[in-house]
Amino acid sequence: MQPDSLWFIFLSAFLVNNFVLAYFLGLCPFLGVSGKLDTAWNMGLATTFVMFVSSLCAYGINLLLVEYHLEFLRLISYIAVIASAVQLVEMTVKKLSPTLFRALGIYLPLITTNCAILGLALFQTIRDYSFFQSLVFSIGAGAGFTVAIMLMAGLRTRMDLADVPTVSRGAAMSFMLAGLLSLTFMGFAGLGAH
Amino acid sequence: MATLPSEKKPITLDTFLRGVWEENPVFVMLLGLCPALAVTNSAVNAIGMGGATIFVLLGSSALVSLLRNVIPKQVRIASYIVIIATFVTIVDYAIHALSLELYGALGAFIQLIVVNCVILGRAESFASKHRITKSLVNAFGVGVGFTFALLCVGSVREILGAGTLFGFPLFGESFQPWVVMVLPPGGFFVTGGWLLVFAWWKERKQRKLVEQEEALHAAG
Amino acid sequence: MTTEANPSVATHSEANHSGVGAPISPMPSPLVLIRTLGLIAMIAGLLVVLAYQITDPIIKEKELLALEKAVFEVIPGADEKTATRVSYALSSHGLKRLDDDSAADANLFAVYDSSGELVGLAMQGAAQGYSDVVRTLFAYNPECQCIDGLTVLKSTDTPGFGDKKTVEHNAKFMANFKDLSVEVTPDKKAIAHPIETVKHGAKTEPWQVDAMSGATFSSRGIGNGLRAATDELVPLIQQNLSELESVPKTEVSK
Repeated sequence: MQPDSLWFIFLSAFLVNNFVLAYFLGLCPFLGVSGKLDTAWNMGLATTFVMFVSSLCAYGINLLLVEYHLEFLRLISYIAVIASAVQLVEMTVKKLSPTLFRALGIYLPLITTNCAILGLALFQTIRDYSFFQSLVFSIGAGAGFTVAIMLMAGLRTRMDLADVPTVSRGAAMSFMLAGLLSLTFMGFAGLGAH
Repeated sequence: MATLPSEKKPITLDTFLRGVWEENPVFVMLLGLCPALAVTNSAVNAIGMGGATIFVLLGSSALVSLLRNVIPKQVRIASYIVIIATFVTIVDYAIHALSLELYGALGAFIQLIVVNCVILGRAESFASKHRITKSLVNAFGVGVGFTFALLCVGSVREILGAGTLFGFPLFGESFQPWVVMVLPPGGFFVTGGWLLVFAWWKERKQRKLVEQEEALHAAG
Repeated sequence: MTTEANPSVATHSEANHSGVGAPISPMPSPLVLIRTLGLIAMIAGLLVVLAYQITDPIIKEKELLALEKAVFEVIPGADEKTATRVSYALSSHGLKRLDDDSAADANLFAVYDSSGELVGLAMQGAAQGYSDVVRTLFAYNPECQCIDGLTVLKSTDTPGFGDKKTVEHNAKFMANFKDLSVEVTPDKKAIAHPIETVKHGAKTEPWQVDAMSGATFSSRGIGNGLRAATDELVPLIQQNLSELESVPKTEVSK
């Protein structure tokens, strides 16, 4: 059952229930992102693209699985689809823009184990989204992920230069900052509701 | 693939303990964070997730270890992932059948265990190189360490955010729960707090070691 | 499928790509690769299917029990020991009785007492609350044409404001659902006054839901869920009422 409109699904995935700050998905790249804003932006873009493609394929595969009563193969097939989508994106990026490919470097294959992608596929299946709802959902989630890592990247440089106790440097500080970001994003709750 | 020398070493307590404390997957290696933070808003959920992860760790490590001489290097990652996904699917059904409540609480995050880097890491770096009993012990150690970490976060979040522990109320009626603790920001804050504790403990240990060495130098 | 995915596999991936410093085993024939993957697929398939076969009946039974418990809880006057629950799929095409195997498709539940008389009906409602969809199960009484029971099935709204425990403990809010009017128009084709959720303290009509103070969105989620469900199903219930009103005595033996 889908009481949501397309616009609402997008807003929800983008801000209200941000994949990183509300659902804790995609934390590894989030915490490991460097201070360079354009790397973060490219990473976000690549992830959004993979999410989009994976969402499409997952929707299709799910239709097949349900048709043949093979739901127990869902997890394995989703992973296979995501891995293939990443390969596809890698090849496309390499062909279309070798500079971008080099800039992203190791991050592309890393997207495979990004729980955000699998999480996206699983959520859209559980919530029984239609084709267009899934598409919009994936774009919103990707946009939300991009915003989150860009915010983190922006804060990262300040963080490294800040005068904080050595004990808290690194992961602990990143988490505290992430918590504050998450708190801020909670303010978006209720956005778009009528 | 010939058997490596490390396979001949005996199983020690260290094989188990290393995964729990020194190389704790969450607080030291910073792996497996996603499912960790998402379902630790109560101690029961933390244990549920930890238990499920232990099951997958044991199952996949055992199977990978058994098949280690059969799987060619080129397809090993794909094989490991299929094996891990199998056990995750099994534990998903098992939890659904055992407790509807826990299943509702953990939801999609059970299936997300499959992208928990801890499990793939174990398969790749340990189970594929050691015999089955040793792999199982190591996997169990890492699983216990993971569950321990989740429990640390989950307990604090539940105590502060709901005033209960494992569902048992700890404080009286007048306790005002710090609700943000059971919400996403709380997950970040509490984990950050524990990371701080671990970092501080590690630093203290380092300092003690250095002091001991200096004392030895001065003496001898 | 290669993944330089996580720190602990980094070294091995390097060995894969650069081939330096690690003994490279010769690429096995495609047959060996296929044989291995096939073997693994077989083992995996076997394990999963086994687990599925064992757990599926248990899961179905547990979910049915949980549903039955909720239905008996929400309909006032339903005595678990002597009453029977029947599941229906109700649509504009008519009323269809479902057996336990297809109970998942049911959108209407009816409870009959030991003499086969209708005690009450229950339906599910779902609508967006504060953070996500709020699911409810509510009781409909065709005699008074009103909702006379409600239970929250699932709510992820803020604990202390819109979560299940807080909502169900809020006596003033729950009083809304003891006698919420959902009368149909004389032609039984629609609801005369669809359910409306109003701000706390602003309720004047029997078809309005007085929102919880400080939890307007959660209240709206519940109210809108009821509204959508009743708009769709209540006219149909009234149209098919004679069919629903009783079942043969033989069917209610327990």
